Amino acid sequence: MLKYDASICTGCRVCEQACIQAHYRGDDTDMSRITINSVWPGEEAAAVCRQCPKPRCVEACPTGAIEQVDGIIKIDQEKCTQCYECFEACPFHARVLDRNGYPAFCDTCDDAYQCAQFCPAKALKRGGK
Amino acid sequence: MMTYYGYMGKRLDIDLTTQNYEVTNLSEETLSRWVGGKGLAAHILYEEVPAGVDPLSPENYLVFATGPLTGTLAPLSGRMIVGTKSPQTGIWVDSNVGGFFGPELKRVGFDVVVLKGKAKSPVTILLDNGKVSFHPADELWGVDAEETHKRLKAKFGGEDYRVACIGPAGEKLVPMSAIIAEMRAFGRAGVGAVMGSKNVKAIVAHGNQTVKIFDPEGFWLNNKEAYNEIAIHPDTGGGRQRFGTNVIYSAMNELGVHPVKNFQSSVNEHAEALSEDVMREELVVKDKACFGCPIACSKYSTVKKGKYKGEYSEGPEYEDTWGFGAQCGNGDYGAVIAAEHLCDLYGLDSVSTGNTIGFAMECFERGIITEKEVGYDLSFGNSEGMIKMIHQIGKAEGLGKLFGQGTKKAAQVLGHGSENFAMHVKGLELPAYDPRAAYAMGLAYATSDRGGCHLRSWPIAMEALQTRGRYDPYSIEFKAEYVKNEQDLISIIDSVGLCLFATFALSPRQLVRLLYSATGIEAFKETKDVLLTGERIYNLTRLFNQREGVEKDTLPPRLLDEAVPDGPAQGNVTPLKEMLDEYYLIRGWDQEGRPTEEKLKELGLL
Repeated sequence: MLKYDASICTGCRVCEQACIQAHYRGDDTDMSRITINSVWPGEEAAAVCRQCPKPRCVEACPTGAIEQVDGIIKIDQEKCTQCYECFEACPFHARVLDRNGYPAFCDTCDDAYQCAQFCPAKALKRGGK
Repeated sequence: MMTYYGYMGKRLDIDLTTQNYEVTNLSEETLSRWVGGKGLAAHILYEEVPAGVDPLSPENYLVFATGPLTGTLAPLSGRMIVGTKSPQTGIWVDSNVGGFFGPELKRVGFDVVVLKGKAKSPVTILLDNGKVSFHPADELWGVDAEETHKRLKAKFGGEDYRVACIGPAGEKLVPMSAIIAEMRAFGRAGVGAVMGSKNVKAIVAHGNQTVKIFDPEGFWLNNKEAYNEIAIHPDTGGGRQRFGTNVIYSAMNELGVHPVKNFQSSVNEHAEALSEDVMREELVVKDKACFGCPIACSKYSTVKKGKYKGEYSEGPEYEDTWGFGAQCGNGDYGAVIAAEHLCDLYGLDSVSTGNTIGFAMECFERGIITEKEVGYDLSFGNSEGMIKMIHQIGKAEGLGKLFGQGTKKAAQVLGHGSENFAMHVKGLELPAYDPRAAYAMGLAYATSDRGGCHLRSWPIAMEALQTRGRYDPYSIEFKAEYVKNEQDLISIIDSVGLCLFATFALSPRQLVRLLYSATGIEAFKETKDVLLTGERIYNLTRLFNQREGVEKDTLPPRLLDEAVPDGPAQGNVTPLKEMLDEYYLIRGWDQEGRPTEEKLKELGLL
């Protein structure tokens, strides 16, 4: 799972760019699966699926589009109706959309968590499973 | 149509007089020659704005330009520039900003936005995912920059609507006014007044486009290496992260580089009260970063005690700690923060404001201006007088109207020998380094393409801090070559959309690898070609300035003729002439500083 400490986040948003480059290469681009929301001068908050072990989004999804497979939360866009019940259920307020309006989930970069590897302030960290 | 990598590929021209706009594709030829940012803006101004136009007339352009690395994974890539003909100096200015406005402009889908003409009444321009719209801004006229940010974000949809606006100073066409973008500043040489002259209160940008990368695997690996390098390099990791730009404060004081009371002394009685340790321990609340920056040199600071309790700013920066500290003889850090904040609210260049108030204080102490004329005590060390003068400059009231024009014009009006201690080059106020204690800085000031500025070349790292080789600060040896090479390299940095701190940790080869893997443009493959492009850009701004009839490369008389009275550099003056002759020779310029025909041919400028 992904851990985040807002008090030391500098709001640099390197995680967003690392996420984009880790997932979309060349001409195939989309938005980042993590968003840092800052309010000047001192507030930072990350919106990102933490890949938590007991995901409430899975339970909340009325169409069964969200599943946890081998410990990883995944979304099947064919089944998603964009009702955003998953957003409402998420205790981490992870409300991130892709370009087509589907909820965007972290895929852990095969357990590499590139956003956390790039995070200069170490505000993002790879936690336990 | 070609696929653009690194670039969004688009230039937006807005004619404010008619409120028409046009989007054109940028050609690979133009990008190969001028890169983006500073280079592209200089090219546009040089080709399209005739010589001699009044900087505050509708004919002048205000060019907002990002670079191919702006808004990418590349470290320190939150940067962009605004280029124009300056109302303060009458010559070229590109003023650089970090923060988040540049990356958002790319997300909108534009590399370059050119403002022309003049709106009939105040407007805000909204750039929303490729769409352009105009909104009346009469209600925002007179509103400070911070409040303007709040209102525009609330009006258009939230924090991610990124704002670049002017404050009351820009509206009043104060020649040292800035453009405030996400509470950081396009600070220098009056770019705010140019925006004000066009009746543009603000530009708001918002988009969700992403920058395509030519060689994603290579770019990824180059970035992994670059981030590691920055984290461990002594000039970018550690101290700079902890103290921001003030990391050099104590060193500058000890080396006699930190000017005191308008360069009259180099011994600062308040050195300890304003030290980086005091800043970190008593003021800093949180480290803040620009987009894509692992250094986070920005600090959110609040004043917790004393006369200025409750004041806050994103800072304090080294230049402001000097400008509102030693330059004004002030030792109250709260007053520095308050002054910095006021500059952000009014939209003022804090370097020129601090420098000019120090100049005004010297005029006051010499009796060139009197307490009756000023209306209050403006002696060195009087922080209340300093704060009052900032208000007057921001509102263009009282003597603030005179001093808001900068030291050059103020000295012309005041006379009585004040020209000798008006600390500017070509009408732009000097920042916080005394070149009599670090000679190459004098050459860098004298040959900067926008006048008195430390950001075209910053030889302090070489001759004072000595983190890049060991050079004698009181020798002229190797200085011309160093300054020339750094000016060319930083021209590239200012064109690709990186912060110049990138050059502290990354070699030119590493920077070029980032640029090429992002863009795939052949002209950016070899380091020597890219550096030659940097030289081309620096020669173009030179040509621009000569076309406008720029004055010769020199320093204020105080730095050339008056020996430092105290401190480590006691007895020194700046040996500019010797360095300048060598510099012109290395540059391929004649003895008057004009690029020779041969040089222009070599650079493809003839």
